[in-house]
Amino acid sequence: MPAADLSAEAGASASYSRERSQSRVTDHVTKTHRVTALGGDRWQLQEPADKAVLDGTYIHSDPLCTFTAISGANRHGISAIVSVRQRDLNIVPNPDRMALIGRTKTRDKLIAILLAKAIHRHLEAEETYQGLVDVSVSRCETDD
Amino acid sequence: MTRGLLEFDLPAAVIKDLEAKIRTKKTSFGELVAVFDLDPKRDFRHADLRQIDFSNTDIRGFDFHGADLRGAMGSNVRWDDTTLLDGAEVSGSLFAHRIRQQELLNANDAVKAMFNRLRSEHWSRSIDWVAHNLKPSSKTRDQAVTVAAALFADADDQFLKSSLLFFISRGFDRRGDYRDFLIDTFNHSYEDKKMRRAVISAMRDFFSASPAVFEILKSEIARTSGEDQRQVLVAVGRSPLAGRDRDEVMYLVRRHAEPSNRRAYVGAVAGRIGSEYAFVMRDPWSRIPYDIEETVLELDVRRLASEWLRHSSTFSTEDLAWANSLSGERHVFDRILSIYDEMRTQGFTVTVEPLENLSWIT
Repeated sequence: MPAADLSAEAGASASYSRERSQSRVTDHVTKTHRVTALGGDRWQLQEPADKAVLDGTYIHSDPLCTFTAISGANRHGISAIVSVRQRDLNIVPNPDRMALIGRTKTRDKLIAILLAKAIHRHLEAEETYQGLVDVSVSRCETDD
Repeated sequence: MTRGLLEFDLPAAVIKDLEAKIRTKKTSFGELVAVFDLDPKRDFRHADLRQIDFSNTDIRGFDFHGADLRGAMGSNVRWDDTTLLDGAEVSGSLFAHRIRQQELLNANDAVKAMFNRLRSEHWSRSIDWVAHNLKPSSKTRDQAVTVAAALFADADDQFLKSSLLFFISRGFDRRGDYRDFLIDTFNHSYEDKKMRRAVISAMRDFFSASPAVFEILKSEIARTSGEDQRQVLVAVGRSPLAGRDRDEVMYLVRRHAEPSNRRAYVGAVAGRIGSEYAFVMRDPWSRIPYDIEETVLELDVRRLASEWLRHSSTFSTEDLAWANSLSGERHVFDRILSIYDEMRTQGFTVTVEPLENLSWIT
């Protein structure tokens, strides 16, 4: 703090008060990739903003991995699964088909879990529901 | 409008089953978990549980791995180490204070030792120590507030608790920590009316814009009566979150609020929107705020218009400039009617009964 400001503060208690304000603007630049390789054959898709809904083409005809069949190997195929956490799902039921009577936040939140479970089951996911909805499963197998 | 990325046609049987469950009149977390047949070990992982109300539920053994629990609240919620919270977001929730306390106590042996020493001594020694160490000039306030909060959680004696609460409320340097402490205290004070009232009062005065506190205040509408309910409704009406949750709040007000407290709520909402709204949403003769549905005489509105012109200096500068720009009572009358129209968006209806054979004084 400059010396001039100190003298002004010291004088304030004796004869007058003086308000002083400071403002500082700091820019934070955060770079977020929409598609991030997590390792272990996993990729994460996300929009930069906190509440943005995924709405676009993220991996457009780009190969995520390549595999070659080896004669006699014990693996003959791969599965690609798109999983979404329930907290990231925005489920909007068709009001013509399902009347939602949500009156409280607690009720609405639990209905959302109920619907996520139903969708998970409907998509014939391999795993029991544990908060992740497998919205897409692709399988590819070699003849041998 | 966001379009759906994926559309599913669930089988009719599945929808029928879902609708049957959703149709339930149950509203509490525990009851809904049972009706919806949700599995505590699996179904709450990665779940969106922001601002959920866990009141009167035993959530020991629930797995909230990766869940978003920000602002989750409740009263008489039983939870412990078997409530799995790894990877969960808990800021501003009923879990936040105790988790932070545990971390602070574990990280500092001296703080832990002081807590253990004080809890074994006479309660008056605890109050003296807390009062001394939570002074603004104390250099160990941060550590002292941790000890004080631990003593508070551990205490059974009502006098000791009340005394500690008095000093603790002045001990937190970070508002968020104080808010989390109040949310935790609210959860554990369900049987202690005096403590509950003190906590609600502090929440109302300092944190009505906090999502978790707002949920607590809303839940209190049904649990309180008389003056306590009036104060809760005023805090809810003044909160900026009241507009966001308008339908839910109006449902609670219609169902649980006493008539005079409904009027207090109307007054609080109108006051939050603007001074001229508060001015016209009340009876011009008794000055009592209108009810959520009110029929008034045109004469009342004229009286308000007349008062408006005479007392417009009580409004904000902008309102005053606007009032001065009007040429007469008729214009103010029209403005009041337009405010009544606007108030419909808040859930309030003011119907004006016209008077025949009355001409305007010009």
